[in-house]
Amino acid sequence: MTKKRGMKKRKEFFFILAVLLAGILFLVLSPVNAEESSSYFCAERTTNGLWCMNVPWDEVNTNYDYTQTSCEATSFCKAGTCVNGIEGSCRPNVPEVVCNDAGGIWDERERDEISQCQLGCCYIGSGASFVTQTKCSSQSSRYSVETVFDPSIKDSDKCIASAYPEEEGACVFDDGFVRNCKRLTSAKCDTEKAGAAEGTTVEFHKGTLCTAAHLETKCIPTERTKLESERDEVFFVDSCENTANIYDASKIDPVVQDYWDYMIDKSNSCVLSSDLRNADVCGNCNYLEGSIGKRYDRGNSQMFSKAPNYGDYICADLGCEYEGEHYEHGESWCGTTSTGKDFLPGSQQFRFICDYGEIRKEEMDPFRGTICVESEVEGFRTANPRANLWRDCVSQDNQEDCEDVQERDCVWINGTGASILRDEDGNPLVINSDGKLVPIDELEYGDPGVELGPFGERIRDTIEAACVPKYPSALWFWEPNETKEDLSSENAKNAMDTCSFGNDICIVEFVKGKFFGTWDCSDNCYCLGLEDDAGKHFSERNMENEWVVNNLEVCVALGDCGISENYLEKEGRWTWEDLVEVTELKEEDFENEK
Amino acid sequence: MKDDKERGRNYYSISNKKAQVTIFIIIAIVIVGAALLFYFLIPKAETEAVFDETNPQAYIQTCIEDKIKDTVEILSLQGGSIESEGYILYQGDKIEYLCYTSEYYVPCKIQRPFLVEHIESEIENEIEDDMKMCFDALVDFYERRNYDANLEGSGDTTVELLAKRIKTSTDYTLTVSKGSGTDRYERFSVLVNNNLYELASIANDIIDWEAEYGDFDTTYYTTVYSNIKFEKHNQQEGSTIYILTNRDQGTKFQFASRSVAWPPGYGEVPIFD
Repeated sequence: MTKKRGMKKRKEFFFILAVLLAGILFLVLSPVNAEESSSYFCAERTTNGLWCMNVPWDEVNTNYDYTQTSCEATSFCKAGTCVNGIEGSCRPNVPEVVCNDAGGIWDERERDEISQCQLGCCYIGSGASFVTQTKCSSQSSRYSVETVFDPSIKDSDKCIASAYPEEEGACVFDDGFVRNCKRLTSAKCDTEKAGAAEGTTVEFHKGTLCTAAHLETKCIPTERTKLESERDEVFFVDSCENTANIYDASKIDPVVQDYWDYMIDKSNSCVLSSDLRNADVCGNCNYLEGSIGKRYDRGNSQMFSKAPNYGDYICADLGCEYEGEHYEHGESWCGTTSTGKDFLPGSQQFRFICDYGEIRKEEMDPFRGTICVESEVEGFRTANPRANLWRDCVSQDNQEDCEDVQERDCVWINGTGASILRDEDGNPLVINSDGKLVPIDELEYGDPGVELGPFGERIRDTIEAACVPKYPSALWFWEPNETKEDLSSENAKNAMDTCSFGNDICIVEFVKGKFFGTWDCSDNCYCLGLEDDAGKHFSERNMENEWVVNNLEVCVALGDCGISENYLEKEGRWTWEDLVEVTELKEEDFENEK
Repeated sequence: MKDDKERGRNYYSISNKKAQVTIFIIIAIVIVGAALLFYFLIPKAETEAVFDETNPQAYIQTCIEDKIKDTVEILSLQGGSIESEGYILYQGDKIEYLCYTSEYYVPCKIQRPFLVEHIESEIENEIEDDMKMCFDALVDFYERRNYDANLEGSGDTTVELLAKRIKTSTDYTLTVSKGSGTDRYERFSVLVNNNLYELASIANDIIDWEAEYGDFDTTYYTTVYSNIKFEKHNQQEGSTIYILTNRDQGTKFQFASRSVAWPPGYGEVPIFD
């Protein structure tokens, strides 16, 4: 609740101006110099070698084109799609001059609107990728394999799911003496056949392993295992070094099993438990579920405590331990540098990611332009950065709009001295019966603080309020060699601009007693702590009064403003004495100051 | 007799000692000589070891391979360029911006639309002189062995980033003749195992996202590419450093981007007259 902050004019009065510099130091911060702000140019090239940037004059490379308009309005730096006619790539948001210099074809349309940039499914060997037709052709030479393009598939996931692995089998070579065997695709076996020595027959047995008894090759089962490139699992290997089926200790005996005769799908192989408890006997690792085949290393925390029954490889856990919590591979969570309260000056949020058994740390925006948000779907935890929507908080004039989580990240606070928004005369807005902030003059009977007196309506205890950021932004206030007495850098000025929304002025009025000549406080006394909410008067000033404290609360909520400890719990730059200034005004100065 | 024996023993003893000293001196000379020979001849021998008169291709491979590897390593740490332009200094590396905006709130503009081709061109330019030196040395080897060696072609070098390897070819044709025999060697090419093509392609995907939407989320790619480690480091002024590392080979590709950067506080919006 606040008191009415009216200003009476009586000749015989002196005034004391209590100024709360809730921002940093200055009552009014000088706006950005008009000439400086208008000195932006579109530079075809900047002095530090970048192309097509809107920069101040001192960053323009005058050996190239430049103009005092935005790059989007120029012919040379307009951004569009850059098409590579040979490789078939279509790159978005490329300035025309950059595209032309690189030998591309520039088009001002979006990628989706350009026929050459339409995507389809490109089958490359046993895999697939979702690319343009030209890109598909170019990948044929890059990967040295035939490609097939299917423009009818318009979805990346469908494309990848539709990839058909080339079927493998036993390619048996018989030179009349020995029957040798290699595990190959049909196409590769045909190639071998074409190049085979005279007298050597080559046959392909689809889906059959080289160790199949009926093939009668020299290759026999072993107790060894191996890892395959781009595969997650541990595989058996035969005596000819061919990859056999997924390692399953129960299938080691070829006499009683046909596990060494035919290729068995991953889905029909042994089932690896989610806690890898049977990793010693089953090599059916799954990267997406958090395990991958690795050489067994006793003592490695990723490895099951028991060595594999056969071979040197085992499914290793890709999960992570963090502060006593187990995270699966791919899970992520938020963290901060702050030891206690979040969003203190200097604190920064992080996203931790459990990646391949290691914890990777990604910093959120250092100025809290983004914040880290955690979520969980079916027990899988993720943390993601999202924009911190704090910027229009201070302009909200009611609690509903202020705390609309779809639109912004703000909170509504009220109390004496809390208002940020002002009327035309600089007086704080107050809450009406609709919960909206309005000028005090617009209050009507029935609004909070308006009551009916013996001579009509009178205003006594209005409510001030403000909408402030839920996650205060960080400000760049730590320029090297800068002291609080000298804050001349652009960054410091910007910081003060933001904090200046919290500046407040309270004019306290004193009246000279007629009999004893003493000065008694008569209006806005609470700003100096000379009056409390109940109307009780005090003779001593108290600068830690409700009005000052609330102002500072608003101030700190705006960002790295006001009086605050930093994230290391160290005292900040400013003290009460720095931020609260009390100035005595003579009667004749009052009109001007007002 | 005894004296004679004594004398004889002493005589043998003295002459044995002299013989031992002589042997030691000879051994020392042999060791020093061998060391000198080793020092002066082995480097030459190493170079010559790969020179097989019937296989000049192998010589060129050995001669230029290290230069290609070194070049690839340098440009991989600098966003794909040997001399970075428009870069951010990060842990001593000048990492080039592949996408950049100097403003706040807006997506970046792509600075290297054809990254793979740019890298190929950078490697070509960097190794061209060394490649010529290798061919000159090759001709010299043949001539020292009394061959007539003739090199034709402009020496233009072409580099192709391919899946899992880098292929370098030249248009040189070498003709060597000795007596009545003549051999002709053409289509010289050097293969270096490296997955820079894959890393650069992923970098392009990341940059496409940054140019259209802003901040790229690495977690999806982490689950798709099991053999690539994705690191992302946000910098104070809004830049992001990406480091892609192949887990098997340990090779890296680093690049920078500045897209949808957030200002401290409300920031400043550029105004044009």
